[in-house]
Amino acid sequence: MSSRTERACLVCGIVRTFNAFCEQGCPNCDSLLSLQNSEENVHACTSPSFEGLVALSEPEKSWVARWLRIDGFQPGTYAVKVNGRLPEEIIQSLDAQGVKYRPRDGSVQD
Amino acid sequence: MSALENMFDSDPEEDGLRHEEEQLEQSRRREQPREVDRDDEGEDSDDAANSAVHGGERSRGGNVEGAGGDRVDDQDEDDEDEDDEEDDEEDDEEDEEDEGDDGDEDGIRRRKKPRRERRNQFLDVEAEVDEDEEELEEDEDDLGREDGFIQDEGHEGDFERVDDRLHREVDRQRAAIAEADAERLASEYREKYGRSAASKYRGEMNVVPQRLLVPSVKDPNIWAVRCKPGKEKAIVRTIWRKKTSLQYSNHPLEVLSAFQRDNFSGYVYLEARKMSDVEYALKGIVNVYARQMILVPIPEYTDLLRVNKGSDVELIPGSYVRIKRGKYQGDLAVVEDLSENGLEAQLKLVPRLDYGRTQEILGQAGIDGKRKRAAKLSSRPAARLFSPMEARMSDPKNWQQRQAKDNHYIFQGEEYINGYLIKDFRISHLITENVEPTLEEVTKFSSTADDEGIDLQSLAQSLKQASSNGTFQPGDHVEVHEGEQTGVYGRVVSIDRDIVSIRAETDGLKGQLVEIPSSSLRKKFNQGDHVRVIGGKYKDETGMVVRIKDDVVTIIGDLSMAEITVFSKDLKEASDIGGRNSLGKYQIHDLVQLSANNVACIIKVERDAFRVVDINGIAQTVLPSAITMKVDNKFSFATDRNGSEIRVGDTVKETDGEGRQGVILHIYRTYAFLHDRSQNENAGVSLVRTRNVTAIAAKGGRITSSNNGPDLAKMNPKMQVGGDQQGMLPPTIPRQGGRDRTIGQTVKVRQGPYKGLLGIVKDATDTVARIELHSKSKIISIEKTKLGFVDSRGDKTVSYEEFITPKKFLNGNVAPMPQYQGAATPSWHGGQTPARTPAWATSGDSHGGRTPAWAAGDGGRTPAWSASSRTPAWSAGGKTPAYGRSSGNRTPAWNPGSRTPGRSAWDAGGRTPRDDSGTRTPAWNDESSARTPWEDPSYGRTPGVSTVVRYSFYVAGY
Repeated sequence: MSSRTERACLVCGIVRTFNAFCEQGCPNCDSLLSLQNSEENVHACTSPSFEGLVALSEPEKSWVARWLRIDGFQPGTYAVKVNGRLPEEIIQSLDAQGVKYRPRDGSVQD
Repeated sequence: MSALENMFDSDPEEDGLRHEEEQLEQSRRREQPREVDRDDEGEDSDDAANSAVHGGERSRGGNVEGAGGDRVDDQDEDDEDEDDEEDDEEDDEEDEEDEGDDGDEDGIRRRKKPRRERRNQFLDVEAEVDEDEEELEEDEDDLGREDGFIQDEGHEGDFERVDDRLHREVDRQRAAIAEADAERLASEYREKYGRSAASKYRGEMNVVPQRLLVPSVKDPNIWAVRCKPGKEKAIVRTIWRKKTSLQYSNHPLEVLSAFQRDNFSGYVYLEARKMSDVEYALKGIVNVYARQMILVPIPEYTDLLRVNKGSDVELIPGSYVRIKRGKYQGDLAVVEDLSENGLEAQLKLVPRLDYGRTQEILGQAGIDGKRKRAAKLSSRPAARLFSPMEARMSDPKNWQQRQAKDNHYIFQGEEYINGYLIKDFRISHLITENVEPTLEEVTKFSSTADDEGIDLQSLAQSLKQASSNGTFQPGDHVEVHEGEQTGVYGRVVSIDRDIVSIRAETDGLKGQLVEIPSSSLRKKFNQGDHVRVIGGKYKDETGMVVRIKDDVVTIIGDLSMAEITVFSKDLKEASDIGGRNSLGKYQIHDLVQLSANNVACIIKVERDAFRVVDINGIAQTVLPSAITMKVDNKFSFATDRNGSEIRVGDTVKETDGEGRQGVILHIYRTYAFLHDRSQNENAGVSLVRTRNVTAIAAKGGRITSSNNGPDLAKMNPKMQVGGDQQGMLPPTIPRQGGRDRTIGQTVKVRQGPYKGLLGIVKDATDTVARIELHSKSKIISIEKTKLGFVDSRGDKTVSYEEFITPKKFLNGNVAPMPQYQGAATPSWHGGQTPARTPAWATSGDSHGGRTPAWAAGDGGRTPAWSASSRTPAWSAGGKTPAYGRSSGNRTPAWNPGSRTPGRSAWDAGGRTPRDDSGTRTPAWNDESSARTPWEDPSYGRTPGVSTVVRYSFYVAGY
């Protein structure tokens, strides 16, 4: 289990504290998930269970970022694996916005 | 307001006041219609209050007027009050003053506290209301003129109205603009951020297969750096902080990323272009052993970041866990809910309550602390559902019912719903992996549930891990129960870790090889399949499938004939009938003592009893306690119908009765327990009398004396005499009674492929010996006559015939005649027929062609001599056909003698009777002198006179 209040975004895998998610939202996906100021959304879209911590400083240049498909995101700490899945309705709303949700729990291999 | 009314009641006599009050009353009445319009709730008190307030406002209006002109400036506040004003718009036309009031109201809102305080003192003010009203109007007029808004006194009402509308118009426009601005801004922002977000996800939208992302030499390098195990995450975070803090410094970190994986404990990985960058990044960070730095080979990059599903079980509500310690240690629980931080889980479990019974006992036992603890540990209350009644009886103070319909209680600080304990546990105190709930446990949770069903979904979840570690075997019938291939079934061809290749048997895919993760597979059975339970409580039971529901298969046990419900993963197709084969210290097929004169053979082992066949042939079920002991009779043996020896393990056949055949399990007195796998009755075990069976095959190819028992004919001299008249059989070796003397002897092979090798006789029949060779680890079967027996002194070998002959004849000077006659074997008698060779003829006087041994006995010669001396003689006589047939007499035993130099001379001569005659003579001569011919070098040269005589004798005899 991860440390007490840290959670990882189910979409981009960024790791922040629960409070940070509530106050600032997710730096990458807030436009999709609107986590800011919504504890409910933070609960739904982030997971306290993740594994593999990546400190990503230069997303564009890093192969690690490309491999983890976080190369388009903000620098920060990310999780390699995030357990849990987005709720179905959020997946659908992502679909509607043209974003294909790709679970980070290892269930999708390609 | 109430204060106002109180005034009425308390001071009716005060005229002045009363007058004022009346005036107030009038003014109130005048305002009332308006009030009703505005306020649908027509309560008098409210009306009065309203009028009072309005009066007050009006009175204050005069003071406010100075601020009236500021209203336009205070747009914001007006905007806020827009609604109020719009409500009032209808009234505007009816009453201009009211407008003014409203405007004043706005003004009042802007007033500071002191003014509001005046409002609180309105009683005094109220008394002067009438005067104020006029003043107010005048004041207002003045004000209007001052501001230049109001041009004409006569049209003051109109002007006021127009003025206000203009204001409002402006307000609205402004508001509209502001609103539009806000909307535009919002949309702009939305567009902006929406677009940027979408751009972030561009990679996600047209998904690049990960195989195209595999690293190449152009990609940055990854270094693995040793660190203190457990500190990996902290180090990654430290690097991140260092990176951010040095971002805008002269020397920023050139590390592209740093990461750790829980699977690779003791390492952190840094991605950078140059090693120096890594060194710089790690400089000053504790717990990192920067000297132990390894450049990760490029092909291994992907392994570092592999994401494996299910490496740790994620708890979800409904999954099963076990509790690690405490009162509920080992108990199964269902996850109800998970705490936000993921550290605690709310579990549902079957409570273990004793409802204060332990306390009672302890109370009686006294105050011994140790005892208390012991009692606590030793007796754990049984797990059963919460009983509100008992709880209430035991501790009414701590008993509380929450909701009757939900059966929801609080008892001693714990929560019970529907009989289950609902309690929070730390997840670290739970066993989440390999929970493997049994059906019994699971049923406990479903027993009181509304629906009869077990939550197979969650059960499957919990069992997934268990089922993934190789419960499938090639050849298993499986079916895909989830995923795209749902419904496909086939046979397992091969298994590679979690991926199972199956040969599909579904119509569409028939014959194709499909690869499926094992977690999506389950074993497929059909009703009527014969299966064996390979795991769990019912392990090793076999039975027939009678019902299948998803993962749960019900079978009827072959032995118990009871229904067993198990998971399909615990089943395996099986053709044999079986069950447990041991219970306690007894095993299936053991011979056990039931009573002093009854034994029985266990034919099957049931859960807590044995099925046995006893010595009366009756099958019965006995408890282990009814068994006195196990009878060990491994070495017992008996004779069969033909007198052959039969032992445990031999295959025998019943000669009469049912003609049963089988392997002897046990022999007890005159009974044998046979086992025949092809029989169903009594699990193939049957009881026979040993007298009624014949041996078919001995265990392990053990040499039996013969296939049909000992050759009785050989044993009977009379039969031999009668039966072998025409047989012309050579003399054979007399059979010895008792144990074969050759067994255990050291022998030398004298003929055949093993010639010359030493060995020990392990087993023997009349004619054949099995010899374990010294030189080769091998046992050979060889005719006894081809063996030379090394005598006890080890210096010479003797033939079988010699060996077998009683020693007293060989060495003792016993009078030969009576011995000879009496001891003659049938063979010898046969040899006495007239048709024999001359030698035999001569033996008519009992002195002729006897075996060397006998001859030796005859003359009291040394065996060697006697053996050899006869040879030529026989050879000489061997010219007759009869002798030719009896060439069997040229046994090896004869030959060894011929190998001696002297003997060869004899042999050579022996071939032609005439020539031999000369040489043979000395032998005969020697006979009297008791000399060994070949030991006497001179004998070959002995003048042949006497020989001739002897020879002629032979001829005459012939």
